Amino acid sequence: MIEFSTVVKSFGNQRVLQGLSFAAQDGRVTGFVGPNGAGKSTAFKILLGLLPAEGGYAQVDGLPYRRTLKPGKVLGAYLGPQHTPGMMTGRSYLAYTADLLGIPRSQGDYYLESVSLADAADRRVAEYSLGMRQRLGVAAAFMGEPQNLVLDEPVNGLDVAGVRWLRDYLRSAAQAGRCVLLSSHLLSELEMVADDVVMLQDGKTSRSGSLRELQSESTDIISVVTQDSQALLKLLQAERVTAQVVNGVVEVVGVSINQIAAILGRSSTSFTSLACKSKRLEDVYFEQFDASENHSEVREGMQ
Amino acid sequence: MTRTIDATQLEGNRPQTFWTILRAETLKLWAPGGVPVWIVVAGVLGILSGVGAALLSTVADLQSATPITYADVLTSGTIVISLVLSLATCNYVPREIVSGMVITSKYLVPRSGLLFAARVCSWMLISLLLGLATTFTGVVAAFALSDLRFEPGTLVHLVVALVLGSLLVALAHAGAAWLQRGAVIVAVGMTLLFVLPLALGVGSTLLSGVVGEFLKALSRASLGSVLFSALQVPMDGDGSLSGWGISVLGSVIWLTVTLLLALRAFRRPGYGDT
Repeated sequence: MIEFSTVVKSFGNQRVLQGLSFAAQDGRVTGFVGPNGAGKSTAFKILLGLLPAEGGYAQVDGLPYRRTLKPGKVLGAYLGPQHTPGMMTGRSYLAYTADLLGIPRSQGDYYLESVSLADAADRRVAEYSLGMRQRLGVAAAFMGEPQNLVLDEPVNGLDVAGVRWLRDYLRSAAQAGRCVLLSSHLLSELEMVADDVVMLQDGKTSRSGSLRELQSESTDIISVVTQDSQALLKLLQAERVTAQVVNGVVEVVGVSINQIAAILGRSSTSFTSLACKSKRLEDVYFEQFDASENHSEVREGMQ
Repeated sequence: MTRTIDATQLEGNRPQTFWTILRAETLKLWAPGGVPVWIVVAGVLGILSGVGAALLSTVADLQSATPITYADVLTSGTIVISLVLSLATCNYVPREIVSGMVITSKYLVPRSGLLFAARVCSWMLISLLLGLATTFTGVVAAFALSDLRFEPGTLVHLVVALVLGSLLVALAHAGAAWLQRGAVIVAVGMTLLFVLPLALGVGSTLLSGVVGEFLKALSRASLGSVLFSALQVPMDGDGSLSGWGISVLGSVIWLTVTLLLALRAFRRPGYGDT
């Protein structure tokens, strides 16, 4: 389990993290999202002991990471392609990682093959593409088969096969009881792999919970496919229901599917389908951040 | 990338000890991206230096003017090796920081003090191993090419050269790790080793009285002076053993201070994050 408790961190006058608290549980994939500069990478570096926290603490399995004796077994981390050393070859980098973690070098070769880098193993990392660097870094993080995984934007630059491999790996890791914490800007991708989501805003957790909870907290969209959209719009307006036409489909927000079905039943309007679709993570994200922006604007206006 | 990981194929890992880290750091220096070329160059120059000394000892005129001893043949390579490896580490450390390697190493080894110690020791170990290899070739060269044979004090001379050679490399590594930037390392290194002792020496001869004596003492205590004096091991009956001992002590003090400064910098959480 990975835990952040009231973590505070500033760079100069700028407070990046102001009381960040959340826990990523074993057996689950936790997505860590937030806008650029929200402090996600800073939080990861504090967890790894690469930056000091000014307040609060970050722990892995109940201990600060710096105190662990078997780092490879406790935590695997990937912080970005800038930390995969360009002067080494792919093979020598994984051999060094294996040596430090006390695992056989053959494991490095195994992972080179797993991430499809066996053919490029003896080339310098500086010659790799972004995607290849990503794959190498991810392979290094996975090598010790750690109980906890921390991955900062691992999907960036990966090809379709790479994304799928990573998704399968992370799912199987979580199913095996391991804790996975990953940040990503690709919310549609995160949605396919995450069990829980933590949203970071202004240096603290603005929203967290299981993906399902977050989606159910948000208002569902009811979509009605009809041949006469305008007639249905008029009908809904008469019933004081707000609706709009999107790509020929009438979308309604703020009422239940039963209410819409009742309205349609009372009228003679024909329709071909009526469906309730849950909001995507992206919708939840923008709902959260747009609301906060509006809130800030109101506050600024009041001042 | 269609293969998935079968965890049952993978073996568990061992606790991370100083020896695990030392082994990894030493092997890294030999691997691509490390300093294999520097190591080979140091070894070749070390061997050539020993063979050259053995050959020079056969020149009678030269031998009567400045006699080359058996100890010289055995230790000349060690000194050359430590100088080449010192340059190598000054070149390597900033490169490693810029490439993001240090940050990677620091999160792979959360106990950064242990990591730093292992890094210093890996350079010392390579210096020692190369020094021993050139000693062996020196013995062969002396036996095959010259009439020089083992004499009293040779062993002491050899051990001192090996130890001081390693300490010089450790000092260079610590200095580079502390200063981090290539240009700064070269500037500070040149100043401490050559410019400062020379300037202080010149100053002490130009100024008389207390100030002159003070500059003279500073010149003797400067890194360049103590290091080069420490490498001049007095032979039996030389009578300058205490002076040499002070130079060795001075070198150790310089090394300790530099190591502590470097360790303090290295353990700082933001160190190596470019």
